[in-house]
Amino acid sequence: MEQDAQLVQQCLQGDGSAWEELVRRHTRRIFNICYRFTGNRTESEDLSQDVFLRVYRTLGSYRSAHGGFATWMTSVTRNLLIDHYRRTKRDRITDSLDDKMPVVENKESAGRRPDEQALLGELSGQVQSALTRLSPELREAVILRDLQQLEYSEIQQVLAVPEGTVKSRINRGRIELARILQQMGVRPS
Amino acid sequence: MNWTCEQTEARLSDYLDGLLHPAEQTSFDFHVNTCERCTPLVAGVSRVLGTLHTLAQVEPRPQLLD
Repeated sequence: MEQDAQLVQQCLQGDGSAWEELVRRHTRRIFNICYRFTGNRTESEDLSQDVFLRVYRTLGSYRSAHGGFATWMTSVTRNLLIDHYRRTKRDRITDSLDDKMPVVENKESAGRRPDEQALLGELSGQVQSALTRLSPELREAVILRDLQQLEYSEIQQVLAVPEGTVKSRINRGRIELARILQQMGVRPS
Repeated sequence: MNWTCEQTEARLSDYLDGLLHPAEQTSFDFHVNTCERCTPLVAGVSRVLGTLHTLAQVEPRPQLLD
């Protein structure tokens, strides 16, 4: 049994530290899915808390035989994101980015020269801006495949659509993203 | 095999993910190398994919991790 599934069992038996461990193991990943989808840090933090709340309430319905806990949790996240997208559709400003707060990124930033880091930070912001201009169907497919590195079969499970649809959305999403960045005058190196 | 621009667009992710069969790969390469429309498309999407793969994880504020 995978470690997550063991922790779920312990949670269901009332072990609070097991829940804390589950939260600790998945917070960054869930937050990053939310952030790449919304482009807004505060919304993503609120959404991440909503995800954990829903996961906690529905933990008993998780069946390890049907797939990994991370995939199940990603499905919960995706459903909340789509609900949120529909709820906020009216007042959304498509090109608004973050809360104007600096975004701290942690991968491989150590060891880079300050000018390299600045360039990477700028490009990251531009790509994030382009991502939020994709339709939600294409955006979620690109995030799950190219940022979360999920397998096609896992994405199929999360999105509950046939494999052909998953492949088509990823393909269209990548092409559309390249077109948006080109329109923005951004040329990734 | 006569490869078309529509095929290039439809199979672009298969190409980028290395999922084309050898014969398809040959046709794809031949078409892209000689097509004014597809050359920049493939180069642009390749670059975007490379950028996505190097995007760093965003660090949440410490309060969320507490």
